[in-house]
Amino acid sequence: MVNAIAQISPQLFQTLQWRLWLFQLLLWALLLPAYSSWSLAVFALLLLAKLWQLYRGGRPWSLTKNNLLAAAMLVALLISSRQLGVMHLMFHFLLLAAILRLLGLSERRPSDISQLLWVHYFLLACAFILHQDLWLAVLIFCAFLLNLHCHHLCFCREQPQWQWRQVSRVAALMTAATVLLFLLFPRLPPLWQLPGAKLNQTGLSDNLAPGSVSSLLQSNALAFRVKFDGAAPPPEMRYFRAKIYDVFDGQNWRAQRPQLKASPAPADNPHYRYTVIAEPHQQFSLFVLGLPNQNSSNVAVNREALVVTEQPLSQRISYQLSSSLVPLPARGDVSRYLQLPAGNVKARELALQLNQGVPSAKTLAARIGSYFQQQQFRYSLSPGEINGEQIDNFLFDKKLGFCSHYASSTVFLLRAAGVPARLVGGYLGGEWQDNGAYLQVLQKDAHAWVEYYQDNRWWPFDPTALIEPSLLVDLSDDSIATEFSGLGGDWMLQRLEILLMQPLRNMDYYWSMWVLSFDSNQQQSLFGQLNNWRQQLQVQPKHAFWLLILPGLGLVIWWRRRPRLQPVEQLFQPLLRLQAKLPQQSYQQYLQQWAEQHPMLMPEISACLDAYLRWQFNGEPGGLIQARQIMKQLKPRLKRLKF
Amino acid sequence: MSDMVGIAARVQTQFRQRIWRWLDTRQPISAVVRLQQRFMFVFPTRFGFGLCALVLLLYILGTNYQNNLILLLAYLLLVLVISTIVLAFLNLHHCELSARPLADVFAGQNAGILLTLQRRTGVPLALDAGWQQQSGQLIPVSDTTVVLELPAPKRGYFVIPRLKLQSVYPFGLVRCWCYVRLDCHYWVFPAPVPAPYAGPQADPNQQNAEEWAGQRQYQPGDPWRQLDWKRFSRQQQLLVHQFSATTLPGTDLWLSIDPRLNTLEAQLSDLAERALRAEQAQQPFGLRRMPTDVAVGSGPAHLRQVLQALALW
Repeated sequence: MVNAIAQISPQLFQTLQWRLWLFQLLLWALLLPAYSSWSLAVFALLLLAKLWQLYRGGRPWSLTKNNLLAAAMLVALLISSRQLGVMHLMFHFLLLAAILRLLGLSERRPSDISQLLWVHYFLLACAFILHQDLWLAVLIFCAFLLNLHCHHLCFCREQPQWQWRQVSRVAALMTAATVLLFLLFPRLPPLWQLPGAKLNQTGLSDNLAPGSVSSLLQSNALAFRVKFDGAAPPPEMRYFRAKIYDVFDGQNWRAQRPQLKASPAPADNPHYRYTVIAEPHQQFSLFVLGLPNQNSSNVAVNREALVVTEQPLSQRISYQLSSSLVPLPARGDVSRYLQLPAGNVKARELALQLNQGVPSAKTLAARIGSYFQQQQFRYSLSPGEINGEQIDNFLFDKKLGFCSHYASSTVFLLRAAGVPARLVGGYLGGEWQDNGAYLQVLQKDAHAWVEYYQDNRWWPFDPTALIEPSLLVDLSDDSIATEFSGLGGDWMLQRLEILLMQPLRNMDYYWSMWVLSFDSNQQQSLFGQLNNWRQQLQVQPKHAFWLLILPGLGLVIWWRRRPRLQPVEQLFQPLLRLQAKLPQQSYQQYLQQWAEQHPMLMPEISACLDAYLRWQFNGEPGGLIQARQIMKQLKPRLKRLKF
Repeated sequence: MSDMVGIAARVQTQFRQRIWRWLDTRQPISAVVRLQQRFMFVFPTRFGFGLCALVLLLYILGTNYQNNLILLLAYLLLVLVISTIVLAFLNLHHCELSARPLADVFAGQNAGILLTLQRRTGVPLALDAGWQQQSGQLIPVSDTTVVLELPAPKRGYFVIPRLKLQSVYPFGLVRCWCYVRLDCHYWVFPAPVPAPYAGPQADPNQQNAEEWAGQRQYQPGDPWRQLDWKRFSRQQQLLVHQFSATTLPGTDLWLSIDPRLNTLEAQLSDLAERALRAEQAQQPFGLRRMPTDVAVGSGPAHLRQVLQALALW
């Protein structure tokens, strides 16, 4: 085995170490979300130690020191392994190993470097578990190139001179081969379940206190994006269901953890087909319109017709659904949707009052809605805290609030009147982006509404929309101002952010659509497309002939008949083309003849001859290169010659 | 048990010989060899296999997480490994190799073999050269020339052993190597040893090596330490620094076997020593030898002729 760094020059070794350090710094930044604050600090200190070592030209750390440090860190990590989880533990181990290896990197242990490079490649792949959006992916690929560069340096003895033409040719070929593999290499379903990254949950939480949604309603973070195949539902029907809150304890609404799997409902007309690209939010629940009929294999539909994943969503996912916007069929016992805690006496009285002489649940819901309208309830994103009895205070004192206040009060009133009802959390609306190519739903589109039970079905009802009808209007960029005006002064800043970020978000969307969500289905359809073309060619063999065989034949003929020149002939080709060389002439005589015939070219030709002779008879490769350069300079002047 | 070991060793040597024979048919011995696919080999190194394992690991990881970017990275590394096979091959391919002995040597010294690599486009990078079995030291002279040392324990006229060239450039994933047989002969003269009873007479070169007295053409037997390497790499001219010059007028001298020495090697060493001394004294001398004598003469060419006669005695 030829040793890598044992033979490289000391200057190159120094350069290599700097670049490896830079790479590790980048890696540290990329893996930031995977580490707890104390380990981040330790890693940062170790990186600083390496910087100090490089800057002062210190000796590499000894193996004993490294092992002791590693052992101490290992103990600390194992103690906290419960909180970290398997995957984060692995991230810690690997980065620790890499940094310590770099600190102890010495020319005397050359096998270290290949292990270090190996771990670097692996950590880069791990960074893709944490980050999938376009810009970070580009950054990770840049880091990959940096590591590849370091890898190359390890096996160069001297500072390499870059031959850009060659490098770009190889890079182009490699890129093409990678893309082909990406498109054509068979894809398998997941072989077994691996632990996902453990990060903080985002988005709608499992506990909904009226008021808790308000921080979400001010967030411009991306929740998910939807692309409709064909027609999209009108804005007043774009309620994306995510969670069902069924248990109320007087302060909070709690969502049950979704039960997995139920057979999807039979297709109903009309239905909408769409693809959702959801951002990682570390929760099980996904987003669905109405009643799902079909779903792609990476998600499941549960008994409440919600779409869920099998593991908390830790990376961006794309799934296909088709839904019909009909009331959902009720399954099982609905009596648990009548549960209410004690208290809120006034609200109960109101419920009974409203329920007098009402023929059906639908009429009751409509009556509750009109009650809100008659009593001058208003919509505000910052209604302030509500103390004491949540429902009573809202209904009879404040009369000011947003979706979760209205929805939870409505559910309370319905249940108090004996109608099974539940609170649904999800998202409403969204904005069309890129000329209507896709619907972008932000966290601030989070919404809560009501489903009540009647005739063995769950009927949706949104009391908030009665108070604030503008929620149901398709928002364009210009109308954002109206919604934010309630939030105070910094809406201008947020608007500016949206304006600047949106083109980037559009690119990120297409990146998700084409690269991240390329799966075996799309691969199959690609194969189908190729097959179609092949069949078309078979049906019309004439086309195949013209398309494939003729250019191929031409290429073969050209290859066979291409002039095979000796290096010397190649060198003097510009001259030979103008005036043939006699067979008995040597090249020296031939060039001398040229110089005699064209005295103005004399200096160049004699210099070229000199270089040529040095190459031919002294065996100096530099001579040929020099001769070529001179011939290249001579070319334009030869064109102007007249014969 | 020892029988088994013996058989295994015999099978191994036979197998090896068969490989060398096979290689000989692929690459007939010649003075200038252009490296071609016929006798170049590529095989992944341990690191190469390690990276292949990483590709597999990443493919499984990417599949289990259904993460296209990890898959993309796995494919990229796979393409890297595969294209390295070609790159490592192209690094050596079409390289023209020739060798010549740097100088004649005496038995016991190291013979220097000057190896020249040439190619129309660029030079091979990060190349290791060595002998097939025993390792030699490598002294780079310029980009395209290296000197390989070859131990020369016995006198004679030898052909250099099979040359081993290898490189793991550019990524250390794939090793490309070849065993080249070059038609290059070198002389090993008998080591000059003064007869024990002839009285202490040391090498004048070493005794008076205090004053630099200019340079002269290299002669066999001159210590390598005194070679002017810089000049050699510039002009391909072998010069030695001379530290003393003694000139004595000379008369004809016939050298013959000293029967008092009991082995042939000792006699030849004695002859070599006397020939060198005579040449240093600029005294014309001849050599009495069985079929035909070497006529009296002087000068470096004559000395070389005499020493060659001794080497092949």
